[in-house]
Amino acid sequence: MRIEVRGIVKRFEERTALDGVDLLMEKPGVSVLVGPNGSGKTTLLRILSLLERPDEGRLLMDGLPVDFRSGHSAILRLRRRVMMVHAPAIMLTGSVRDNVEYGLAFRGVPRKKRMEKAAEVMEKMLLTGFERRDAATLSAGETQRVALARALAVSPEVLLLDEPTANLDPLSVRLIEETIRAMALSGTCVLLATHHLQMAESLAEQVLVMKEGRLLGGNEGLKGGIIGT
Amino acid sequence: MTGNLSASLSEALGLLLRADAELWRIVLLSLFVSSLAVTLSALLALPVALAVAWREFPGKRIVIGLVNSLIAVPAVVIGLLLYLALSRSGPFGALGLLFTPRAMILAQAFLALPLLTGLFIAALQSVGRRVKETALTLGASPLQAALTLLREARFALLAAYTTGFARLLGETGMTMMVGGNIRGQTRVMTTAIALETLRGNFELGIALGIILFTVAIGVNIILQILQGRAGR
Repeated sequence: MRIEVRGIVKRFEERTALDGVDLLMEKPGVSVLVGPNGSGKTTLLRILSLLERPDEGRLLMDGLPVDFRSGHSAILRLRRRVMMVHAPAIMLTGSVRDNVEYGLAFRGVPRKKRMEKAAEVMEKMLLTGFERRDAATLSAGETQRVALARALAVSPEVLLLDEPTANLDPLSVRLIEETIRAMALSGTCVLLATHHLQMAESLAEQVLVMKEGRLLGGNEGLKGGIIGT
Repeated sequence: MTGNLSASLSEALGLLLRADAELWRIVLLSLFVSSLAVTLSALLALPVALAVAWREFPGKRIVIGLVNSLIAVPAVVIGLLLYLALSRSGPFGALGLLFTPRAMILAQAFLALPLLTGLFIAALQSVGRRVKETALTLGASPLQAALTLLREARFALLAAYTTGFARLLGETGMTMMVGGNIRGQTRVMTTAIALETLRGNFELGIALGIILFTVAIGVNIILQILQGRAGR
């Protein structure tokens, strides 16, 4: 999927969160978005996942401009190709398996296929044996792994991750990084926002630096020390 | 006086133990009227609350403020307006609803409507925008996302429903105005207690009071359990 952002502006009352952002994502791989708190990273991810409407500018998917006022079905079709994983992720009511299956259930996948797919991705995310556990009782690391398993289950063309490893144990961080890398290799376009410089350097094929609602771009920004805490 | 009270209490217990037909008819009518009224009100309040809680829109605070202000409207005012509307010379007089259980259900449903709407909005907002957005990013259609939101808020919604039921079960003045407190037809627990107390027939009043108190405690226990689950 080719995503193109052209001159996007987003304001929240008096504050300008995004101030004319241009971005092109067309090849599978990992792009990392870094920048201080409040620089607009999350807002950009929310617009790309169609949760937020830009005030100005255009978002094009596969060359076609996204019309946020168009019918629900058009937006839904696009949204099902893009997956956003929040941090901390929200677990819905039910077991770990229920949570992994939600995305498939929303798409009308039959129960048997859902269970097979869930078992497959849970094994990848080292969640085998957690199937029946109440998702509300998971630790932060386990929750984030289930959130990524939910994403894996629906095989998105574009994966957007907002601070996917914040406050996680080293094992979960490593597993999440490996999964992100594997998804990129299998053809997914990944864009993740993080404060972790190490993560950005180890994963990113492209580093995008954001500051005050603008994309500065280039790997040099990473070494320029503008990343906040 | 103490002797009168103990005699009345003993007679009241007798009525309860004998399963007095009139007493249980009053109890069942009370439960029927209030449960139907709160259900009717919930069916109207839920879509409104969902529409308000679903997204941010200009004037949302005003809408919520208006709903909360309507909660403060005294029940007798609703009773008076409904009485005027349903009385023979009123616009809906031809329906012949005044002094029937249907009028009582209607009045109680009106009374509960702003309360349930306000509590439902709070319940749905407490679950938060993130649940809705999680469902949407997982590929839910708006309907699937709305159902997910309702499921995640179910304990808080049930707690609101139970609060509404308890409020209606204890209502007296308005129910008497539109129901007429007619024996065997529209007499419910609260109106019977008020009438029998004025007449000096404390035994029936006390017996009904015990039942009302027991139901109130039962509802409160359910409420505590639901609120505990909603807060988890």
